[in-house]
Amino acid sequence: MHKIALIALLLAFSPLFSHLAQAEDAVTENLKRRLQESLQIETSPSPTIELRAYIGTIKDLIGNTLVINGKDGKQDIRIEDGTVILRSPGNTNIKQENINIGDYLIAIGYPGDGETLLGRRLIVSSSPIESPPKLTAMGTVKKMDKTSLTLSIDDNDQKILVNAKTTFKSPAGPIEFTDLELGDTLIYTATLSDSTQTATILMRVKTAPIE
Amino acid sequence: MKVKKEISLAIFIGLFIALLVTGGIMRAQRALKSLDLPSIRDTLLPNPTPKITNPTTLFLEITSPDNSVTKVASLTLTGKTLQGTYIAILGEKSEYLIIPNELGSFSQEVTLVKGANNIKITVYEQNGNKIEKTVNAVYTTAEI
Repeated sequence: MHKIALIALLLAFSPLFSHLAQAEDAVTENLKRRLQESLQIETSPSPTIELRAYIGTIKDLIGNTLVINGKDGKQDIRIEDGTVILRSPGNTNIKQENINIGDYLIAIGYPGDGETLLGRRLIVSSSPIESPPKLTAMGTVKKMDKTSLTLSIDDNDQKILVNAKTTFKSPAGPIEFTDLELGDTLIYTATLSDSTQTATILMRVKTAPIE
Repeated sequence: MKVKKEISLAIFIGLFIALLVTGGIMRAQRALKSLDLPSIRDTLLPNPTPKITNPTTLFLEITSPDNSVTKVASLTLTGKTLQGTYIAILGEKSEYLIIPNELGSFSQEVTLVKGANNIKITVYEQNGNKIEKTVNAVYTTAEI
């Protein structure tokens, strides 16, 4: 009787043992998975800090921080011990004291705290950094001859010279100057010299309506 | 005889408790399985940004970095705008007139000059509406 009861007790506990073993396996698997996920998150490549450059006019010099006015507004540039300061043209090394308010600046460095750039190489110039005069516009062909087009742009007439270097195209591919007609809508890029516009690229975006 | 009876009683009580515990564990396991718990990755990583679907207002988003520094004489300018528009890019050295793909994305290799480069991007709609943005880049071979 005693032995039978003992065997029955063991049989009753056997599912408990197997469930406990299964539960332990599941917990181990779960822990392994979570640990692996954490490791993957930690070992994923951190973004490398890239050099940044700001271009603008020096508005102020407070301590060792330059305040410049660039295309996006004010920007602080910090001058550090290792910052190289050059004056252009000639790229001669200068000291912080030789930087003037109103000078033009190209500041290269690494992003610091907040919006400050930690300057590594500063190029200052007393003359403005000017881009070659270029423009782009959209208009409708009003007149044309062998060397020029007159476009109606915002109700004003604008003469544009074309030359052998001018590229003619449409969204479908290249076209010829002779393919253009009065009433066509064009977008163009041009260089500007003494108020004379010379087209570099002309794209026909709409053909003249058929009358 | 009395001792044997007591042992048998203890065994039967033990048997009853074992059955109760086993049943409890089985129920708890089933309940945990039905719960959909978020993983660590789901908790730590931000949700992906919802995509803009079929925008109708003219926009221009430049995806390549602004105020960049490069040691090569070109920059891959990438961005997104409305599909069916026209993009004019005025670089310091060259100009480009391109069209975006059917998703509104565009990419153009822009030639740079040494030093400061001011790149102006204008997007036109056929009705004449336009939007402009400027990207700065510095091309230098100096060791920084």
